[in-house]
Amino acid sequence: MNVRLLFTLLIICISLTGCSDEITLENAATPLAHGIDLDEHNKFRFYNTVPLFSKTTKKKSQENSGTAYSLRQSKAQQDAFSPGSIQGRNYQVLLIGKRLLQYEDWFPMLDVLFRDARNTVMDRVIAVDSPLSDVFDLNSKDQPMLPILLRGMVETKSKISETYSTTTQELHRQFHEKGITPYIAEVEIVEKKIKLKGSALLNERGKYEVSFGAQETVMLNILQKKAKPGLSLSYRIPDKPNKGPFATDMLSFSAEKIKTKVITSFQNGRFQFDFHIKMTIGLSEHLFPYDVARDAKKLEKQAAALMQAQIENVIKKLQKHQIDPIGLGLYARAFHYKEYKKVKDHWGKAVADATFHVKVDLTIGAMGPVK
Amino acid sequence: MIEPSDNLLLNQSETISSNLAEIIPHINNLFSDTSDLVIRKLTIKQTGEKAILVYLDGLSDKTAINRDVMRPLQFEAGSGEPGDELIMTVSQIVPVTSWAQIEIALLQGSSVLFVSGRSEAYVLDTQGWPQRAIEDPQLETSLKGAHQGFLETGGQNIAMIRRYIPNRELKMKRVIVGRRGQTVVTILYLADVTDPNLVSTLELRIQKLDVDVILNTGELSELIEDHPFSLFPQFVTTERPDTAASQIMQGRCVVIVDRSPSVLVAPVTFMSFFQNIDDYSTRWSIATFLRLLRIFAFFVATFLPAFYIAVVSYHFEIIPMKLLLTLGESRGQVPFPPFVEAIFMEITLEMLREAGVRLPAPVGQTVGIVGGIVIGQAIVQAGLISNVMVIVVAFTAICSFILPNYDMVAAVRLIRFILMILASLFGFVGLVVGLMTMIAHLISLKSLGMPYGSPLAPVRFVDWKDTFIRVPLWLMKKRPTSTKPIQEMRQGNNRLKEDDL
Amino acid sequence: MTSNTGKSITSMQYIFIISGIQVSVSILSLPRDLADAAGTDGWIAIPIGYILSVAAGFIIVKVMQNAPEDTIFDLLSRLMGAWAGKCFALLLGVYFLSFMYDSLNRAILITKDWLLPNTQPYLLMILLLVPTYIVAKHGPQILGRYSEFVFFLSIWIPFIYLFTLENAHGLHLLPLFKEGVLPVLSAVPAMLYPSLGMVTTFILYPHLKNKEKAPINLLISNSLTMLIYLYITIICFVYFSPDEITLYNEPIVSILKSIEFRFIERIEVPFIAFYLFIFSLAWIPSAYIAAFCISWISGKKDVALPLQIFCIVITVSSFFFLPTFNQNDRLGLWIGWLGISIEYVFPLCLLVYIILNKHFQQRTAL
Repeated sequence: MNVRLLFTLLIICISLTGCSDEITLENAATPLAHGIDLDEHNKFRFYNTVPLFSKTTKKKSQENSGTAYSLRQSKAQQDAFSPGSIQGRNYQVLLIGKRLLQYEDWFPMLDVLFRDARNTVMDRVIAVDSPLSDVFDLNSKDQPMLPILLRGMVETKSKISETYSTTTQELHRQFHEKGITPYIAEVEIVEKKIKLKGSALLNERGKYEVSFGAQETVMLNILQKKAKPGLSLSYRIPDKPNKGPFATDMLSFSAEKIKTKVITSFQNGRFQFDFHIKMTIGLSEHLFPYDVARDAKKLEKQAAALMQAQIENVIKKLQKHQIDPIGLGLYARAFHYKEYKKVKDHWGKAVADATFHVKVDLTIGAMGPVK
Repeated sequence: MIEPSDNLLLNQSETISSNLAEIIPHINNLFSDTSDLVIRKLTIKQTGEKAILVYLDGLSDKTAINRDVMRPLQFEAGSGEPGDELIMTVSQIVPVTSWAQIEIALLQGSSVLFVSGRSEAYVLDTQGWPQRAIEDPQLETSLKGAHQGFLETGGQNIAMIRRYIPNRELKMKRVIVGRRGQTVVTILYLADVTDPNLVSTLELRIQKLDVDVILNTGELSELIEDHPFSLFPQFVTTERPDTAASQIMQGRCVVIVDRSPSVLVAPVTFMSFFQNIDDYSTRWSIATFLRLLRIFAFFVATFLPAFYIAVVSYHFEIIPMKLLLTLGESRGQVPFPPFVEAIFMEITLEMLREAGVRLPAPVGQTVGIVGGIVIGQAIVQAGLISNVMVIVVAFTAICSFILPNYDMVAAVRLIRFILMILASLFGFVGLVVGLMTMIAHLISLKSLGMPYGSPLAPVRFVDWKDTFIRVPLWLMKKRPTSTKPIQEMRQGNNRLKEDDL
Repeated sequence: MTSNTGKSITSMQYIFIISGIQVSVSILSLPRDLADAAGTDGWIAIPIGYILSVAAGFIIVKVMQNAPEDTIFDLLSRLMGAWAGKCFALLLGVYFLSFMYDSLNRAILITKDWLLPNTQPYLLMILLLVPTYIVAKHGPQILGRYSEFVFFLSIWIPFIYLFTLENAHGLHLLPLFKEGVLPVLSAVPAMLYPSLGMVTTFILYPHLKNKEKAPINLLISNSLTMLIYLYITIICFVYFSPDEITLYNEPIVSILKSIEFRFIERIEVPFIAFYLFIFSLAWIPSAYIAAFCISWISGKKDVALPLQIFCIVITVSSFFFLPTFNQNDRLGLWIGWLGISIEYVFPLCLLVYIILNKHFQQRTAL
């Protein structure tokens, strides 16, 4: 009986003390997008946009920015603008300005995202090829909210391999893993609208190296074995005539089945990577007349050659910039551990030295309902 | 049988005298200020003896007295030997000698015949008290089951169960409880199935009771349950004879309390509160679906408001972005913290429910309108409560209506409030600790000494056939082991073979 | 001593009690510890540790077969005198008490870290001790039921981890034995602390329903533990890069942050809260056993009083002081060594002693 009494006392005690972690949804300010950049004096600058839960205001969100030393240090400054207390638990996108990407070793700036366990690490990282302030000012009422827009943009396009939906957690892996260099989505502002550019590739210390457009990103995805059926490619077939202003030599197809095989070897002091890509495709348009039923092989060969050239071009670019977004280091470590161990600290150089062989095989699986 | 104590009954062991002149004052003395007492003097034609017939007006069946007692006694001429067996056409004549017995018999509606010169009186079975007709059960309606509910007469209730189990192994233990009430409590069980320990434990617990009166089964169950401090009901009470019969067949005891229209089933497990007699008469796939639905509803009814509080006031990071915007907008205009909001709505709901139960049916509809329109709609428009909270409360209410047992729903209502408090103090941690405590409590509970959590804790896989799912009847060859039945098999192979079809 | 028949635990309950104590808290950092010692080859140490713990388990059962109706203390008192029993009871009591405190402490630290950073730790302590007391005071039978129930309640957890395989890189595991066998062997000690708990057999053995099945049950429970460890470790290894996994304190929780569902984001938040159930599988049985040891020394049967004392002392002390992560790690290390001597070395010595004793007795009888 006395135990029951004790329990009751304890429960009263607990309820009186309460819990100091309570912060209700409406009292918290939950920025859905945040960004980091440098200003013209190379000072660190943060940006965020907070949804406003009010029916009286026309604008549904509030944008804040300021200069600070670090993200967490800027919390007081962020709070100062907001009716609630800023909580980094619902970030949807993290925008990184191009200016900041010109420098190396900025990744530790994101430490708070990992160290404060309540912060989300599933926000998609996007590089912005315009001043970040422009992006946040764009958040106007006749467009979908910036976070929804960006997140949706990255998510849907990464499903068809035209960009990357790299999360902060994934970025953490890409930065720490020595056999891979980071890659993120990239957007820019065109005529006061946000436009998806493709992907931005960084070097192992986070400096911006090169941007890939949609189709190049698709190629990279194929090399990474990340490409999923549904991606779409277009090529101009060289021996087809152009009529008037129309590019009637165009061939577009979508992938139905993609298989990438990577064979790693080590010869003559350098790594060698053989890619063998097998794709079953469905034609989605060819503007020139062609009897696919009879001459499928020829068209397959032509398209495969174009694709192979593009992939080789992509690899050359990577080698030129000494970056490895494909993650070839993982293969090297798995199959040639001893050799990899020697070069792992400057893997980018090893990739630049490596030899590549690419072979593409296309099979037309469907030509659509018309001949 | 408990003897009535001295102070309540005078001269209890005193035997009756054979002199009628002494008897009448004695009766008048015993029942002073009892205007419904009838003393009728008569002469028995058969033997010529003087006699008096005593009964309580209203408790006895007057037609039976007139037809079966007065008439034969006054008109039938037998052999004429004094001391012969009297000619009466009542079904049961019990000769008694002590006043105590006479008193009880009179109070229970029998009539008593005193014959001059005989030192024993005859208790005649002429009971006939006000009784209602058999109706559909009120609380446990069933779509396909029988439409007979128990009555307020114990004997009738036993008969109704016997109709389902005409077997001589259906045994009874009769205990009389209550000094004043003298309630007849009967334990029914199948002697070759039920664990004899259960019956003796139950009987002992009932025998030990020393109360004034037991008016209802609920009172009895509260007095004999294992853990009176627990929130959970430890016995099932049912008003359906078919349910009672089915429980007896599973090796359980059924306790019938005279004058109460519901019977008590013991021992039960937590999962028995999710079973319903209709489960066995619908197709097994549908019954399984309904079982799972009820278990889901139990969790929703218990946890949903607490979950809402925890999410909105601690863990809004788990809400997907688009829902977050909606939820934020709806919460943004509410002046109360989520806990106050939730408690307010839940208490309103409980009030509406209670009002609906007590009000007569025509007025009851008004409650629905007031609740639905005034509280449901206006409160959101006024910006006092967020519309998501209204949805949460409504969903909780619907889920608690699905649960088939009233006692369990009552427990769920209380637990819900406890969890809401915990969630408002500690978020998910409070919720989980609440669940942990609930589980710890449930697995240490016992119903009549049998584990309450069975077949989940302790795990008894053989009993899962009738827990989350209801397997086809031909697979349920054994009785549930949670009651430790003596005879395990309950049926042979009933699966039709290909050739039989 | 343990004549309260009917209060017995089934084979399945026994399996889950042992596995519960082993897995609960120690699984959190296991992948990191293994990676620290042997990189992605660390998982190979799991089967090796498994063989060791199975062997230790068999020795423990073998010892207990000499006293099927008694606890280890009665056996020791019979063999070496009452003082030996009491000493060992005290030692075991201290061991399990610190085990309980360690796991409670760890659970609170993690809860605070991930869910409620500003809440006073003593409040959490009170909250967690309520169910502990309710279960532990009822003794082994309810303990068994609790472990069993929680296991079935948590059966969905491994399936959640399958969702992380979307971002898995199987290449992380290759090559095997990249630095040779030595690092793998050096990872084996990391497996010892997570295998502790079999010594509960010393106390639970008299309550077992099927004593002859005890060795099989120990084998099953150790295998279950190993499968869980192997599963979780490999999932973590293929998800996290070998270069980054050592940066995470609780990789098995961090990995959950990457799972997204349409209807719920941040699955790790409810998960951590739910994980308290699994943590409780460590401290609830240890609370009972510690209380049992103390009450055995004082010659009483009732464990409620020592339990109440534990609860009150722990609550009050947490009001003033609760070990930090680093202190907790050190405590864990210390318990690990104590555990190794109690669970691996001591039973072996005892078994040898018993065999020799029997041998000599036979001789003198001759």
